[in-house]
Amino acid sequence: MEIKNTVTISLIIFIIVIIGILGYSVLSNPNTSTNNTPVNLSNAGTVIAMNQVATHNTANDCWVIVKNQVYNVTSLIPQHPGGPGAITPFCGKDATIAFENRNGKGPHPQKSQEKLDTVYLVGPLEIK
Amino acid sequence: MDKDNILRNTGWWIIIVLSLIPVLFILPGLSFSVSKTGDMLGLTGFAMFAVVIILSGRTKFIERFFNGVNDGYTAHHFFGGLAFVLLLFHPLLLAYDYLLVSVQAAAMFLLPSADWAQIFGTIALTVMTATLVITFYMKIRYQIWKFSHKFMGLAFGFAFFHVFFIGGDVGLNYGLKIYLLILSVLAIIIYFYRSLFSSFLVKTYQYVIEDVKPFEDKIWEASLKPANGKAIRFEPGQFAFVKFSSKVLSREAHPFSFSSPDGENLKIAIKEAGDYTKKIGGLTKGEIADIEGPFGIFSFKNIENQKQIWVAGGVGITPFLSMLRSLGQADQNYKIDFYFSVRDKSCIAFKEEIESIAKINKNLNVIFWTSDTNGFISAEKIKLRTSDIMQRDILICGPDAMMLALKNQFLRMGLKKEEVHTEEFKLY
Repeated sequence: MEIKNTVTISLIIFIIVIIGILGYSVLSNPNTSTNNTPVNLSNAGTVIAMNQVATHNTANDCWVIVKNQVYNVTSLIPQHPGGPGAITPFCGKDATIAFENRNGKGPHPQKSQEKLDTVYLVGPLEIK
Repeated sequence: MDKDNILRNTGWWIIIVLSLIPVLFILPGLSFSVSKTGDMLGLTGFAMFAVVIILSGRTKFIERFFNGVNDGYTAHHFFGGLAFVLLLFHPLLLAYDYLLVSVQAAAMFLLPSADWAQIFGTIALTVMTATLVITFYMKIRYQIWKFSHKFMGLAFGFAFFHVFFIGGDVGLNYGLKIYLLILSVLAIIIYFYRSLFSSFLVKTYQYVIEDVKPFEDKIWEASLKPANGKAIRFEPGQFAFVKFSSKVLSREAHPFSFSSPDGENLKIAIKEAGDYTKKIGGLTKGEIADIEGPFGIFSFKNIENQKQIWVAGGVGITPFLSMLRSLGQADQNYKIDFYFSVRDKSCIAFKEEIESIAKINKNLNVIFWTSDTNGFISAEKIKLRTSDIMQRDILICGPDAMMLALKNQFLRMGLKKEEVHTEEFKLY
């Protein structure tokens, strides 16, 4: 009977947390929702200045630079297998080294680069 | 304590160690964080899930590490629930990091995404939740419950793909990957052996029913003989899983004690207690029984001390019947005081036979205890009649409440835990 009590309490906590997060997310002010700036803009060839990237420097509006390409990774943050903490420190900045190194775990798989280019690319960084 | 006894008390610890080994692989260089704790809960929960499935195999090898197959099933139930708890908190703790970003980020993490490995994990936890809600909270027919429980294999399958394709620690740590793979393969093999293909793979003995007789207290005794010459061998007090092929009963395996001594012809005593056993009286001569076993360690022969007290309550008489009927062939140095506790005189099943066994065996002393006239049986009351109680080992079988109460009373009296032996009918 004791494990049943533990299971019951755990289930109740689980349900409360899940409903709480999802419910709050659904009911919260749309103005505070994450910035889902459309990616794959049809402005191919338009370069983006460094100071423009720097203005998108929060978790709710996050652009990063990887190998001189600019990416809007706002919608990637919740799904990132390495956790949000691997991305958010680099919002508005150059994340090339972190992307290539992954804190000593080595480079990202090729698929990750391909996904960045197809889903999150904003455009090339302006090189001065 | 002899070697077998020591081994029998290690099962629960082995489960704990096997479940915690994944943590040892990722401990070096580990820095504490909430999400890392979530990772560890996931790894431990998955390893425990695999071990719990292996336990359900009901193999003789595994029984050695437990105090009988019923102890193994108790462990299966406990650690199954515990694995579920760990796996519930796994996504919750991982979501914490996303919660620090925003509630929306946490919501997006928890919802199904384009990541197949994450979807597999969500499906696994959903199926597991549904199956365990049925197990813990719904009172349904045994056959329906058993069918629903098979979906645990599906949950494990999805969990397997989640663990091996999500990346993270398993992807980076070769040793951890190999360890979890071995556990997973064993679990999958056992699942197929026991849950899906038991009819083909599990060894059983086929018996034919000779007759079925009613006794007091709604107890029936079926007499069977081997269908093809192969008889099952067992110690008095053991039990088997019996599946009848009968017009009146559904084909499901239930545990029943042998009531005969070991020999060619078999007797099984069954009390009418639920939907299934209420129809036992409808069994007819010629119908077939498939018997898997023997299981259990509840036998006077497994106890070194030949001075014993046996306490049977109601249907708990069934394993003792086998022991009583075997006394004639046993070592004559046994000294047994047998207490048979029932509600009233009309419930004393097999009374004449037990009395005649006591007449032949001078080392057997029988006390019929009727609770309507003497009150509930207790350790103190037994002590008044068996004065050398502290030099005896005690065997108890009966309703759960009676066994628990008596066991606690004997322990408070000063008897050691290993001197009080019980046989639970409930398998968890």
